[in-house]
Amino acid sequence: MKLELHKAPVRSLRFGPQTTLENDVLVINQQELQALLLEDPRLAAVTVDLAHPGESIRIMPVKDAVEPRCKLSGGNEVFPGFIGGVETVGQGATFVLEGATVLTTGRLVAPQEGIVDMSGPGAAYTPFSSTCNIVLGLTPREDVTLHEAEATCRMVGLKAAHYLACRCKAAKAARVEHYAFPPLAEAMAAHPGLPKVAYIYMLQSQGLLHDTWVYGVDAKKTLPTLISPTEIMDGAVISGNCVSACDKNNTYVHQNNPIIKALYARHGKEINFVGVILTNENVTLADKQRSSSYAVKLASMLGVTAAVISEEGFGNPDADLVLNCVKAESAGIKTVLVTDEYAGANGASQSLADSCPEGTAVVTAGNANATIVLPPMAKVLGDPAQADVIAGGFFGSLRADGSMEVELQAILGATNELGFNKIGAYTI
Amino acid sequence: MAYRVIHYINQFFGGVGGEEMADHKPEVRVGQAGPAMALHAALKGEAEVVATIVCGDNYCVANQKEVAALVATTVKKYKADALVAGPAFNAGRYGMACGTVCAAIGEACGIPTVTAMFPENPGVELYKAGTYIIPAADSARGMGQAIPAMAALLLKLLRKEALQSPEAEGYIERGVRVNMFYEKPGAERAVDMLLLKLAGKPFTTEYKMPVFDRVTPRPGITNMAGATIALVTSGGIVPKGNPDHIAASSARSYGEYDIAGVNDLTDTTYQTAHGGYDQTFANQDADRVLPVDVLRDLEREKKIGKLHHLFYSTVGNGTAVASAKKWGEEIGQKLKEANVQAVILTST
Amino acid sequence: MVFVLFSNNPLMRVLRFPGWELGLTPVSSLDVLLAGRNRVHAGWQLLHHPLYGNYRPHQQPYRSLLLQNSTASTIQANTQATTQQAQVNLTSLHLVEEALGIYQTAPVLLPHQAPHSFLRDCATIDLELMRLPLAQAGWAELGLEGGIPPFLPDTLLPCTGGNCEA
Repeated sequence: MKLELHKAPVRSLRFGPQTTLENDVLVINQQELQALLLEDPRLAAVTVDLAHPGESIRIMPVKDAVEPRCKLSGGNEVFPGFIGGVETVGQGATFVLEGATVLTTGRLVAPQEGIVDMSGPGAAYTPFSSTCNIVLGLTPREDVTLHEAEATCRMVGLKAAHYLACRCKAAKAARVEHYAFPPLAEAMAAHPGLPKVAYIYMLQSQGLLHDTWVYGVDAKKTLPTLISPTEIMDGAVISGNCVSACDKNNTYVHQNNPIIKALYARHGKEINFVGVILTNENVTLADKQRSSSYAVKLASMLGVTAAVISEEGFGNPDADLVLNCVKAESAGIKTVLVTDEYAGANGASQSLADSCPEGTAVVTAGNANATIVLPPMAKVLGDPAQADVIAGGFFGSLRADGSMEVELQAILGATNELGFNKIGAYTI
Repeated sequence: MAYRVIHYINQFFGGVGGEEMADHKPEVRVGQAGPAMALHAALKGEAEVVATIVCGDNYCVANQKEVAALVATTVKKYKADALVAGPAFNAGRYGMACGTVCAAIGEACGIPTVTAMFPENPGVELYKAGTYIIPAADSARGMGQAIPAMAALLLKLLRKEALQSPEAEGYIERGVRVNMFYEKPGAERAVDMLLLKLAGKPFTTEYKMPVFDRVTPRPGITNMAGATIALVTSGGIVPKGNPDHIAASSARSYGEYDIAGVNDLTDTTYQTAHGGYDQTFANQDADRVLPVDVLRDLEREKKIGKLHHLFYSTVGNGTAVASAKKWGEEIGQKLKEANVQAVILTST
Repeated sequence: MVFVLFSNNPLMRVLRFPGWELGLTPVSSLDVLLAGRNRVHAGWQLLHHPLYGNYRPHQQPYRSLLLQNSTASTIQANTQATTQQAQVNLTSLHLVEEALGIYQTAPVLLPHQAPHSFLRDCATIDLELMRLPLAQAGWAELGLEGGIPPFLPDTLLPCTGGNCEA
């Protein structure tokens, strides 16, 4: 499979009569976008706001982040099973509005989702303080169920991202990235002498607001499976995970999975990157055993000698991470684990809920319990009252002057377990 | 202007007296007393010891909150920027006192705290997360080495300099996780680490997973009426007089004692050697820790085959894990050779 | 009885679980875990992980725990699934003890400490996260036919120590 990513940079956003890309400025027809999203009868209201890096803006509670993409060629459309049909993606060419992000916000449940500060000390912790954000404020109709409200908000984010990319796809890309994923027979024979490496990609799959979708299928109902990294880039994996903002993998980080990027960077030079194995993190112990065995079996069938394993979430999924690690190592597959930590506000508690002697190589995305004071912002998009009930915030974390004391857990993508950020931790 | 430091020391180093004065109530002395003089000198004018608090070890351990509150008041009164305690060397209660005072003041006043003790001092394990502990020798002979190291770390903390790893800075790893920004994103660090691991080259994990020594339990005993049962305790029960001199804390040995014919442990025949809990009830009736009387009942009732004629005892109070593991293996081997089917382990 | 469901989630009391043993008292989430731990020691096994995947003890006041009698084991959840009667399932024991380690050292949110809207959402999410284990144990969603039932919060019973099975 071969995929070209045609990347057009977006350096600024503004509203205008026609949605288009002009000199790196994404011009958006606000009414057209609103009208398109309001076609969903389950929505009562939609607002569209813009937020740029450096502005005194706080966005919360953010549900999902999506990068605008659409297909230029190769059949089907991005986000298969949602925007596109269920046929295979990951081939041909895909248009990307690089530097723009659709952020969906709106109340689903309490406690909920995360904070994006466009400036100030909190901005250093979220990847989305450096993107130009199209902020959708979503109000589902009161008579829709929680399941439907979540599905609606999820779909609206994808729809908006696809709409923006589609309207601009005639623009010339500044850069074209090429990715190839050969058939297995070729991949196995390629790069003799280089160690074969796989990526075991764990997806949160525990229930409502804790789910991930693969080609439109609820990940908890899947067995671990092989997928081409190019399919991931076309949005084959999308997030329905709305809780624990710091370490949930939103759709944007799936589309731009940095582990896939890092493995590609070494592919053909130091390693032979032969596969991505999607696996889930179900709550039942039987599923945990089955999925970890099956994922490692797929890695063994590929004949890999090493694998990167990334987790999503914490607590319960720590058990999946440990099972994947133990089973891979005992199958002779060397592992590096990517996780984050819940070591308490003072950093002295045990970081993970489970551990294993085989877990000798761990990359951490930092302690999510570390606290930070976020000063007031001139403008808040979303609902500031959510601070009281935001996961990782504590009751009363919103102060009278508009500042908030929160744990990093409340900040979107702060301790991303795909290793998106430079943050980590060490022991003193 | 020089930083202002308070130094906490015990009754012995404060010149009040030895063990007999361990109940000495805390007193605040203006300026430097005992080791505070050496610390003051080692700070070379960049910081000064403005007051010394002298307190009996027993008093401090028994009245931790009160002593911490007094130290906190003193810190405020003297507008201190930091607290130093010890060195406690291998004195168990002094280590506990230094640890508890440093941890409490660090939390209550938000100022840096530094102490020093022998790495096997029980105060290390209990308080290393709450303060910086410089490893010291096991006796006051190590004063000359400990004080300059404490002064150097303290000055770094006062200057708010970024600390390197515990090894580089020379303090005992606190086990506290602190966030930092690396040069590269986590994903790239992961692939870098994978390449090193693949090449068999050394690499440094960013998080050391704790390794637990888990033992898979043996299957249950099907015929209790035929089983020989042994008693082993870390509660310190020994024959009256503690003939093997098992230490009250940081034990260096365990004892093996014959209880053939003994049906009941009494206050005239047995006692506890343990210094980490109130001994009153154990000394009144050692069966409360080592239930010989009940097992003799079960023996008579034929609920168990018999009680093994030897019991093993040590003190768990700050005893090194490595020693405990070694003794456990030895005791296990002896019990196995004696055809014991099961052991009741009692702790306190 | 093959299954026992412990929960402090009031929604669980509205639902029907024919043939199951139930311990549905308004205790703390920690007490639910302790009740489960006691059953693990009596030879039962957990059917699911006792921790949430995205919530800490102060973020979710409800906890449900579904266990299966090992002697009637049909779902082999563990490689170490025991065959002998009343042997302790070590995987279950390990997981429940690790979970207790977290609940006993972290602040635990009690239901009456949270606002009503927060509680209703937490109860709904707890139920949603239990759907898979309940379904794998054969539960037919009895009582859920009309959607999530009306929610009435409880007054917390003064009960600690895991002796809350009554």
